Amino acid sequence: MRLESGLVQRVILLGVFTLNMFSAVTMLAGTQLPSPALLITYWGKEMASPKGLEIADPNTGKIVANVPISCKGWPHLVVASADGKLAFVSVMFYAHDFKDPSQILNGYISVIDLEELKEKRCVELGPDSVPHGLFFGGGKLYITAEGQQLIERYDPATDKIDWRMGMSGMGGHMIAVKKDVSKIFVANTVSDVVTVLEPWDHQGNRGPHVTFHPWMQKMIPVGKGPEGISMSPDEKEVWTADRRDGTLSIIDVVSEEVVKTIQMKIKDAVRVKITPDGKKVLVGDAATGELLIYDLPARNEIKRIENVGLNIHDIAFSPDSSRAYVTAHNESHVAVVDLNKLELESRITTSPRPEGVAWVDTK
Amino acid sequence: MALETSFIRRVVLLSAFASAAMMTMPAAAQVPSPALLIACWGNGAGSLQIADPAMMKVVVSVPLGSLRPHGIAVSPNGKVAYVTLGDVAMGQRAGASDEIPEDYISVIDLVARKELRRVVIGPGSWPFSIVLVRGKLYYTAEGYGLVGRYDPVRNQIDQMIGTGQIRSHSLAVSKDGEHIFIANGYSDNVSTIGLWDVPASQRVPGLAHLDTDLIPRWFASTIPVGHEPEGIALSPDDKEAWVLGRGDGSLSIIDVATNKILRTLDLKMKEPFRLAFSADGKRVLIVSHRDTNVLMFDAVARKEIKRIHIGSEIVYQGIIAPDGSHAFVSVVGDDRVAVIDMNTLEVTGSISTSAQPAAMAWAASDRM
Repeated sequence: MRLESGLVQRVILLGVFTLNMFSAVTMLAGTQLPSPALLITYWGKEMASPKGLEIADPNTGKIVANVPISCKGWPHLVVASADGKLAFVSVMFYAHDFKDPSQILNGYISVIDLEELKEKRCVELGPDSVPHGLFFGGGKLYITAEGQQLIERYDPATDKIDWRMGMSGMGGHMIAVKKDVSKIFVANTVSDVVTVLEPWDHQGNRGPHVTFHPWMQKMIPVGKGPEGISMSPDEKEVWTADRRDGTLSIIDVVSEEVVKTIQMKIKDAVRVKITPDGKKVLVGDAATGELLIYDLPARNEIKRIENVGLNIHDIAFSPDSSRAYVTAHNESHVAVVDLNKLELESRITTSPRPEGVAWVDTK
Repeated sequence: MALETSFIRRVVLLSAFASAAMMTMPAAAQVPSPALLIACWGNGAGSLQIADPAMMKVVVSVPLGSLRPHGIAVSPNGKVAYVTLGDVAMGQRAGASDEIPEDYISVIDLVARKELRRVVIGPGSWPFSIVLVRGKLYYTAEGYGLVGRYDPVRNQIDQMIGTGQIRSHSLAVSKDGEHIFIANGYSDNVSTIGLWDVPASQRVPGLAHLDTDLIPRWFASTIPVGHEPEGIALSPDDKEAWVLGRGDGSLSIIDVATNKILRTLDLKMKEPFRLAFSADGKRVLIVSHRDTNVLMFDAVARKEIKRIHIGSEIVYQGIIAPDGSHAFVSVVGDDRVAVIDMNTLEVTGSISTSAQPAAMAWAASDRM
C-alpha cells in the first residue's frame, strides 16, 4: 500500500515535472531563434503525445524553444527556407495507423514561422500522400508524396501546390536536388531505383505536345531498398544508402549512371549524408546505432563511431563541416559528432523520438 | 398607326431576341434521353452541346469559356456531366515566366443546363480522360504524369497516383474500380494500376517481404504496347483492354486478368485515334485522326467488318448508341457529327455542331 502510493506520487511528480519542463520550454516569453540553430522534429509514442519542432542552440547544446505541431500525423523531416524565416515539416501517417482500411488519412506540411516560433498552417497534401523527403530551392518547397508516388511543389508565397509530377517506380522517399532544381533525384525504396527528373516548367520547355520532355524521367537501378540519398556539394555525385543489401550506390549526376557500388558491413543503412565540404560521407546504421564515416574521394571507410544512438533518423552538419548532428529516434537525443577528431563529442537531450534535423543560420 | 408600328417593332424585336436565345438555350427544350453530349473546342470558346440523336440536332449548348473541353463523364442518372478543361496554349508556351493557368474538371448540371462548379486540378496539370466508376471520377492529369480520383459527394480529390510515364493521356477503368489502364503516348506503354482499400502488402503476395508500413494501397506496372498509344477501351465484360498505336497503326489487346498482351494486330490505318465497344461487346468502332474512313471491327473474331467513308480527316471520336442502332463520329475539321446506321454500316446523316466537335458521351436517365 505504501509502495503503491509512493509510486503514484512519483508518477504524479514526474508528470508535473514533465509538464513544467515542457511549458518552460514553450512558454519562455520573447524567445527568439538563435543563430545558428538546430531544428529538430519529434513525436511521442502515442498519437496524442506532444509533438513538434524543437529548437536547439548548437553552441550551448540546449533546447531553447519548442513549437508544437498541430497537423494530424507524425512529424518527420524538416527543412528551412533559404532566408531562415520558415521551417517546413513533413507530417505523415504509416499504413499501420489505418485501423479501418477504407479510412482516408491526409498528409501535411506544417509551416512554422521561425521568427514568431509558431506553426502558421498545415498544408494538406491529400489522402494517402505520406510525405517524406523535403528540399527547399528557388523559393519553393519540393516534397515527395510516397503514398501517391509524386513529387509536389509548394509555393509558400501563394500558399498553393503549383506543380506535381508522377514518378515511375514505387516508394519514392527521400530526395537530393541540384541547387537550381534542374535535376531531382528520388530514392525509391520499393522498386530499387533512383528516379531522376526535372520540373517541366523549369526550363521554359513545357507542355504535353512537345515530343521531347525536359522532365522526362530516367530510372537508375541501384542497390536494394535505396532510402537515404545525398548530393555532393559540387553536384557531381549522388550517393544512396541501400537499406536491404547494405550497399552505397554512387551515381554520376551528368551521365545518370551508377559509377560505383560499395558493400558496407552494416545492418540497416538508413541514411547517407555528404558533408558541406564534400570530403566525407556519413552513413547511419539504424539497427546498431553506429555511424560509418567514408572518405568521399577515396571512397573507403575511415572510421566507425559506436553508440551514436539507436534508430538513427537524420543527419545535419555545421556549414564548416566540423560537426555532425545525428538524431537517435529511440534514445531521445541528437548526437554531436566532431568530424575533425572523428569522435562522439556530446549529446543534446531532446523530447522523445526525435526524427528530422536541420541547421539554420539567419545571420 | 404609330401604335401599330411600335407594336410590330416590338414583336420583331421580341422574336429576334427569342431566336437569339433559342440558339443557345431554348427555354422549352428538354434534355433528351438518351442525349448525345458533344464537347466542342469552338476555336477558343468551348462548350458542351447536348444533342438529340433521334432528331439529329443540337438542342442545348452550355458555354465553357476559353479552356479546351477534353473528356466527358456522366452521372448514372444522366443529370450531371463532368468535363475536363485544359489550357489550350500549353504546348505553345515557351517562356518560363509565363503564368500557367489552372486546369479544372467542370461540373455541369444537364437539367439546369449550366456549370455548377469547377474542381481545381492544378496549373499545367492538363487533365484529359475522365471516367466515372462506382460514384468516383478517375482522370488523367497528363501535365503531372498522374491519375487522380475525384469524389463528387465529398467534393474532394481522394486519390492521386503518379504514373511517371510521358503523356499519360487516355484512361480505362474496370467497373469494380480495381483495374486502371492508362495509355502513355510518348512512353509506348500502358500503365496498369491495381487499386484497393487494403495495404498492397496484404493483397500482393510478392510484396509481403517489404516494409509494410510504407507501401501504398495500390500497385503499378507498365505493359509495352505499340508506338504512341492513344485510344484505350475496356471490353464491356472488363476482360480485355484494347489499345490503339497512333504511331504505328497497331491494335494491342491486353488480358486484364494477367496484364499480358493477348494479341497485336496491324489495323492498316493511319493514326488510329479512339475506339468504342458496342454495349453487347460484339463490335468496336475505330476512328483515325488522319484517315477519311472509320473502321467497324468484329470484337470476337478480331477482324475488320467494314471501312466506312466519312469524307473528312481529323475525326476525333466515335461512339455507339446504347441500343446499338447507330454510331456517331465527331469530325473536328467539319463542325459536324456523322451518323452511321449500324445495320447498313452507311453514313445516314449528320448533326451540325459548334466549331471543332471532339469528345462525346451518352447521358441517359435511370429509366433507360
